[in-house]
Amino acid sequence: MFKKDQNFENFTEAETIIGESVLVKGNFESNGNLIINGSLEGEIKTRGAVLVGEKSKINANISAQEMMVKGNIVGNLSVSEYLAIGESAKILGDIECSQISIERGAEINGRVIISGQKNRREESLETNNE
Amino acid sequence: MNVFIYDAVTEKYKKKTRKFEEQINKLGLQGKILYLNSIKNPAESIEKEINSGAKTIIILGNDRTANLVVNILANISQNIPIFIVPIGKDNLIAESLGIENEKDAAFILSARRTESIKLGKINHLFFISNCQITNKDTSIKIDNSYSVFSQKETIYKIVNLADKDLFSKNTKSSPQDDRLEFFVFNKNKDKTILPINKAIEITNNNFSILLDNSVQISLPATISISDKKITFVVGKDRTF
Repeated sequence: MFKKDQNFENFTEAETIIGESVLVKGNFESNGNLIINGSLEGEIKTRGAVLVGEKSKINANISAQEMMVKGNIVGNLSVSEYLAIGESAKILGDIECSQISIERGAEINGRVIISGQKNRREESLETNNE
Repeated sequence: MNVFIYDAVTEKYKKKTRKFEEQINKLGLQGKILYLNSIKNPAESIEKEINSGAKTIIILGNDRTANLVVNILANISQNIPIFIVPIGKDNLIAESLGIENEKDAAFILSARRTESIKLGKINHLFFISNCQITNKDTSIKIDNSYSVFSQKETIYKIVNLADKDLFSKNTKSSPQDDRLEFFVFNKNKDKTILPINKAIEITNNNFSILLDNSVQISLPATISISDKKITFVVGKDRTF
């Protein structure tokens, strides 16, 4: 599982990997970690972590424990713990997570709700960085 | 009592077969021999040997022979250990089980390290290792919930027991768990791995699917992990 200070680049193997040349259509449910480098249309639910690679194109709502986004997502993200958004990420949709980091250059178009883990105080931001 | 099942391929590789027989004689592991090309009903003959007290079935042949005997045993008895002696070409299953060649085979048999593995099922047939098909005109549905499409020409592989090639690509597929894996490999290390927890449905009107690297069957097909377990005598260099 991801740690806040851990480099996501080390996350190269997972129970499920969707390669660059593959398109998955439908509802995907898992208990393990996912790496998505290809295309996905539908819905993803996992109790594990999701890494969305730079070349990925996702049109889906995603629910996960932890998540790193470097690619394109059209859909809502629900992350129970830590969400990391890289500089190449483009997200069109609402985000809910406990903790977040956003790199300079990332594009988010949607409502962001961050509920800190300790005090559970919800903060909401409206961002539109294009 | 050991029962040796000789595939017709042993005729072509007499020297290799003889070398194995010599080792078997030295180790005192001789038994009864059945020649597949001279028996009319292999299932009946194998069942007869099991009822007469066969303790181990030893197959001399290739992937096709292994698939044939496993399909017979799965419907008769799952309690008799099987050992595969790779003779000639097309022996990926024996290699996956840690039996690289006929020279080492007798010693591996004598060490008698056993592992039970679950068989995969495709329609009414069983398979040990994998099923594969071109992605051309192939339609895939996994666990009745999502479909998969490859945008490049490739081979789809449904794996129960990983062969050495897959194993070398650092991919995990255990024949002892309750699922299969769906693999797509392309150039530049672009790989796809999807777990199959229930079943995969495959249709293709133009191409057939190849199981255990040897048996072609036509589609549509439903592939899943079966409840049949077979015990194999294995070597230490197996892929699981």
